[in-house]
Amino acid sequence: MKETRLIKDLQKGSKAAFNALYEMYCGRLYAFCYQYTKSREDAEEIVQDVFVKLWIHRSEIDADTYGTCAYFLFRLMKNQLINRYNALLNSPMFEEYTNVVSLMEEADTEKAVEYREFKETLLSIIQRLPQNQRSVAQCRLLEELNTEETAQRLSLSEQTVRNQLSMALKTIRERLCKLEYIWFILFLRSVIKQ
Amino acid sequence: MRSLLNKYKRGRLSPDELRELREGSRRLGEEELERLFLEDWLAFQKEEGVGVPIGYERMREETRRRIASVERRSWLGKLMRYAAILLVPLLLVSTLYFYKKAEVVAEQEMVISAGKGERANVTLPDGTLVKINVESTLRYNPAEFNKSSREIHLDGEAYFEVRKNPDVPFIVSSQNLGLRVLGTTFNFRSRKEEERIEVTLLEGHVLLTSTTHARKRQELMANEKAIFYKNTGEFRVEKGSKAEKVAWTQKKLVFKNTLFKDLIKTIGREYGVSFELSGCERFMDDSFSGTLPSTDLDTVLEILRKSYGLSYSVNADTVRLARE
Repeated sequence: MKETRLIKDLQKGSKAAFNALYEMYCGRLYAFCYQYTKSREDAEEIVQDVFVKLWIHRSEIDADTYGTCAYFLFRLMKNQLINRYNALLNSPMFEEYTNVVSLMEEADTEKAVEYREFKETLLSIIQRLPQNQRSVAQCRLLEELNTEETAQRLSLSEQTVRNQLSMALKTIRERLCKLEYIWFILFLRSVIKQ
Repeated sequence: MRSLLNKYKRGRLSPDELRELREGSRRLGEEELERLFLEDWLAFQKEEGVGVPIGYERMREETRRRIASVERRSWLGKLMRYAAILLVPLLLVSTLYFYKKAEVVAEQEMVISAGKGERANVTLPDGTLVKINVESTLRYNPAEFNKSSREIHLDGEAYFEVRKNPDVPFIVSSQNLGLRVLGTTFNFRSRKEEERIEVTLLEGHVLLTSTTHARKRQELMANEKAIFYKNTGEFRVEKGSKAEKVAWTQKKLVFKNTLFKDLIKTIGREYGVSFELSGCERFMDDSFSGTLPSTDLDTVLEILRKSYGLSYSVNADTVRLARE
């Protein structure tokens, strides 16, 4: 199988094989780690670390029963991933995040109704923003993309994304009344995670 | 566990489920947890449509950079061996810099205190569970914890269920005694005003080292209790006495040949009250053995009344005991 070949070449020190394996596994590894770390920086950190280790320990690599290096990669990543997962799971911030999310999803209480009304107000304010501010606000706040992803989606520079978001937030702040503004802070907390 | 983890991944945990997941993760143990993750990872390999992440180019460049710097460093290492003498002044400057940096790091400390009549349960960032007894304080540095070691400072009494991690030792330091484990369950009692430090080990195997008496160390096995005498630096080991020292974690106080004066002190601390005694001098050094509740002061006072023929009265947080 093709991957077994790549692994053999990697063991002999082939940079090309390394690059091919990188392309094969980078995305998967990142996505997997992100599910548990919920932080892009942490997931990236783990991916970087794993691949650097993969290169350093290339002579020790062994293909698993299917001829892939999936199992080897797992051994390289498991400690870091589990540590970060535990750290997040046990952190007071995450606990608070869970509490806030559950609060916002309750079916029929006073708070839930308030929240729904606030959300509608927020959506209509965003709809009435000028073109660029509107699309940036939709990406960053409603779809929860980060700055880099927003820049790619809208073909803007990252600095422009930040500026447009800044202006949008200022407008939103001005148009919300005090009670709604408190909901907005909670909303931001759950959307812009770290 | 599987379904809880899935909910966690999708950000759909309710607060109760979060608690369940924390409990479950802790109970599972290191290896089981790894197995769960491995299964998930292998299943993930089969998923379609996992593309290239945003910032892929950037990440790849970063990886290249890091690998290059690692390779450069190993070549440099050989060079360093010959250039050592020339680099001494550089070493001095950087030591000063890191010392300054360490001071800043040390200032960011996490302190968890339980006052009189209070207890606290805490989960450390590595998943270790700590139950802190009355009038006790636990300190650690969150930035440094779980890096090369897991170090905490304890003044008072606490019960630990340490999460197993063979790569990162767990160290409890107190005023005179240090304890080092990899993963185990024990009770640690080191109170400033007491002459002895007591460590009760429920599982595993630990090493105790005196920080005030050089070279005094003691190994401790499961189901043993070590008593360290602060003034002499001596250790004494008792076997099979775990039940009484850990009873406080289960809402009971167990006493075995405890002097009356110490008994009163412990009750005072447990309930957050102070005692005024009159006419009790005669039995201050009498031994008391028995079990007292830790949640009902009235029952405790009744027991004292019957055992010692005392009358008692309670006023706010002061208890008067008098011999009839």
